[in-house]
Amino acid sequence: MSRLLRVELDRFASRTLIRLGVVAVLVICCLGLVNAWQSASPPSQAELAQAQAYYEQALADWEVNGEQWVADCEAGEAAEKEASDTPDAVDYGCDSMEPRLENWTGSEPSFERDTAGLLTSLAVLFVMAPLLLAGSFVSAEFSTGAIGNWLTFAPQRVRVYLSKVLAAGIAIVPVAVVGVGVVLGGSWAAYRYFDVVDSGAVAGVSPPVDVAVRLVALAPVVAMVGAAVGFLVRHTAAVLGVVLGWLILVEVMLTNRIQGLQPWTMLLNITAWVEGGTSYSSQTCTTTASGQSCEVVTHVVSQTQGAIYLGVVTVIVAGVALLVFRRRDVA
Amino acid sequence: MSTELAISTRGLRKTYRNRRGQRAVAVGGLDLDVPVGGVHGFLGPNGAGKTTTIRMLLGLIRADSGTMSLFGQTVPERLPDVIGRVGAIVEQPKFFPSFSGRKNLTMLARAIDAPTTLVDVVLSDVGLLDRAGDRYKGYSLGMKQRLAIAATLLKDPDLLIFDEPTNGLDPAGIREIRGTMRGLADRGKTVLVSSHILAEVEQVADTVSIIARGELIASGRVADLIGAGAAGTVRVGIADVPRAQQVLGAQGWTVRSEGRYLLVDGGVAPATITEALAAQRLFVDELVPVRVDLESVFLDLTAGRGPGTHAPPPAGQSRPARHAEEAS
Repeated sequence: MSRLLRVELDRFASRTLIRLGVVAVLVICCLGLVNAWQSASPPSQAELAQAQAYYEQALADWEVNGEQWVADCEAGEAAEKEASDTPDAVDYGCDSMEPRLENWTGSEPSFERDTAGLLTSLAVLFVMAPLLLAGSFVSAEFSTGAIGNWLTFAPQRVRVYLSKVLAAGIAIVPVAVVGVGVVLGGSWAAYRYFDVVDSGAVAGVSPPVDVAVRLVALAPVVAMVGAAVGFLVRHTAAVLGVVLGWLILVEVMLTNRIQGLQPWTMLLNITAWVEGGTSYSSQTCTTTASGQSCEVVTHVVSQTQGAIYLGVVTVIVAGVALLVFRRRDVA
Repeated sequence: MSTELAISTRGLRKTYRNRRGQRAVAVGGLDLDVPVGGVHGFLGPNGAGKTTTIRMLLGLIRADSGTMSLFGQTVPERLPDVIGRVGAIVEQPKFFPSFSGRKNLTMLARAIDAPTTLVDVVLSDVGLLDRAGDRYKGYSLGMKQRLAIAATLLKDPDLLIFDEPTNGLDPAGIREIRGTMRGLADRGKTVLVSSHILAEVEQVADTVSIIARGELIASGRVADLIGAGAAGTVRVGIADVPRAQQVLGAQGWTVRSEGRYLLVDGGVAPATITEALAAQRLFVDELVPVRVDLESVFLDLTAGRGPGTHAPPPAGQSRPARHAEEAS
């Protein structure tokens, strides 16, 4: 088994498509650093001057119309409170309508908040890349027919299967570590360069190191799912088709029609895992004497649920792929 | 020839479901014995079930029923125990196209724990050493075939299975492969070569099995099968064909006319034919014992066996397998 695993790791590292894919991942990570650099850099004199000009214009408008705007806001808020079953939750923010300079200069840069956000936005990369690279790693063997030749040397299908799936999972770890490391390290360097003093942990935001660790942990799991899908569909294009089809048909179209499916979507649970928990909203509408009243309810999805969900999906897909590979004829 | 069997199948059966949901029989109860040592031709027309049989022996596809063994080990159950003694090329060689020939073989060698130094040895054996670093996808068909043979040699196998090994090769390549197979057999290996090109097999095989529609219809030594098929036909070239046919027919022999020739079946000695004709003042222009080749035997045996043969079967027709020993 370990012999086969070593051979598969070698094959993974030697594939041209995978090497190109890894380069692409690293390039995208480096492009992400441009974003970090811009976030960390202080505004230029010209930007400050423009922000000041916008602010003064808004302040002038406020002095003329501010009282009316606040009155309108409070009236709307009061009407909404009266109609709502939970009036305490209604807040139009009428107390904070007065223009402030930071509305135009942007918020103060924060390494913790900005880098966590950057890593979260790159999560799709650390999901799709392992999925497709691992999928192509396995499916290419079927589409070239090399798997038949391979099985005449290593006929134990369970071992062959495990060696390929595990190799995909293991081999993707250094890729994820380097990719996430580039973003994390590069971002830290950018904020240090601009002497941005961090205020430490930001409420409601996972520390970037935690997000980075979770992304690195997610990549091999997704790669193993990709490899298993490769065993099932046996063609790289089909792996891509399955992924896109799932996203469009299930994650978007079906979930839009059946709201009850929302907590069980892949994207939501991946987000819950990466961000350390997330939430989604659902709308409940009731018909009253005065018409229809709709209420938006926010549901929390914990990181634990995300982890369990991803674990169960991985076990199911990998198990089905193993059963199919054991029984199916190889052309 | 050894009585030990390298390959044995009994009642081997495989069906496929076609697009209309109907079951099509690829192999229908095949009993096949391949003795240890020598080259064994596995013959049959396209669609006869040769490749399916080989795939089942190698564990690539599952048999519906029947038993198989390689060197006495039941497969697929004991295949891992015996696969090290078996090298196989099934249809076209299939390797990773973007890897070099050497890289492909190195991975296979590592998978079976063979020393990687052996890779260059086998590449040299098949004359590919100077192109070993080139990508497989850039190889010619002949080079791919040679690489596949090199791969099988990594195991130093006792049994080599070549499925249609000369497909797409030029005459030089065909001769080369033939020489390789003969050389392996001369070194004590067992070579099973499946083919529908009978002349090619006839030149190299010691024994053959002929299948059609997934069933064995003949097996034995090539010389015996040809001898049985020949059955002593003599071709007679003569000017007055109708009169000569009358004369020879009057002797009680089976005589057929074929253009300006007569064919006398039944193992009649050529000298007797000459004597009978000369007695009636008929003199032969030509007198040739007809040499039957494997192709003629094959066509004779497979005629009327439907798909996977060369002619549709008459309703209800079925012939038992013929063994050279019985027929000759």
